[in-house]
Amino acid sequence: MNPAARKKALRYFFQKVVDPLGYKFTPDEELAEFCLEQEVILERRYGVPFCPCKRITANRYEDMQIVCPCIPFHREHFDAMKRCWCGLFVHKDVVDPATLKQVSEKKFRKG
Amino acid sequence: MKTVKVFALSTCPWCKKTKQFFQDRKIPAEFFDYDLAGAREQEELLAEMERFGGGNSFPLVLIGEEAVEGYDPDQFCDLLEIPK
Repeated sequence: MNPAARKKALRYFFQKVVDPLGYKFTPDEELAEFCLEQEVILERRYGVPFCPCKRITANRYEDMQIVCPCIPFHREHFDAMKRCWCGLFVHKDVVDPATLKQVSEKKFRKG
Repeated sequence: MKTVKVFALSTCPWCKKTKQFFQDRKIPAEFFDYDLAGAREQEELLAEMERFGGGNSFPLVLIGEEAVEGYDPDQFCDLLEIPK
């Protein structure tokens, strides 16, 4: 499947997963397209669309938690940021994603 | 001026923004693309990131002895003591 078609397919599948979780694709189209392109590359390389901003450890248990959409594995953290780590998904009520900051999990857990 | 190291992934959009932040302000910084490094270098990079409590999420920015995980220009400016 060519990259453009695969990117379209990922959009279709991901939408089905994130919608019930209260998330949508970021309104920042440039960011969304870039992240999806990277995930098509990662999927071709590793067989799985991993998060483009997380380290792939080759440990199955850990890597399972960064398969996009990885929201369910990081629900509290992402809900606090109203976005996922790479920013591909944001809460449904977000209008301007540029206002959303990345907060490290460590900082988030410290409160 | 404090030393700046940016640990990144070539696939990460926030790593690109972070690099741009330092390049635009002509702040000398070392950039390391973890995913493009060989196995030996990855071990060294990971050991250093873990020393600062990071290692799984990118970007990780070391400014002097302080670590910032994620793209956070405000914190970069605070640590470098430069205007936002």
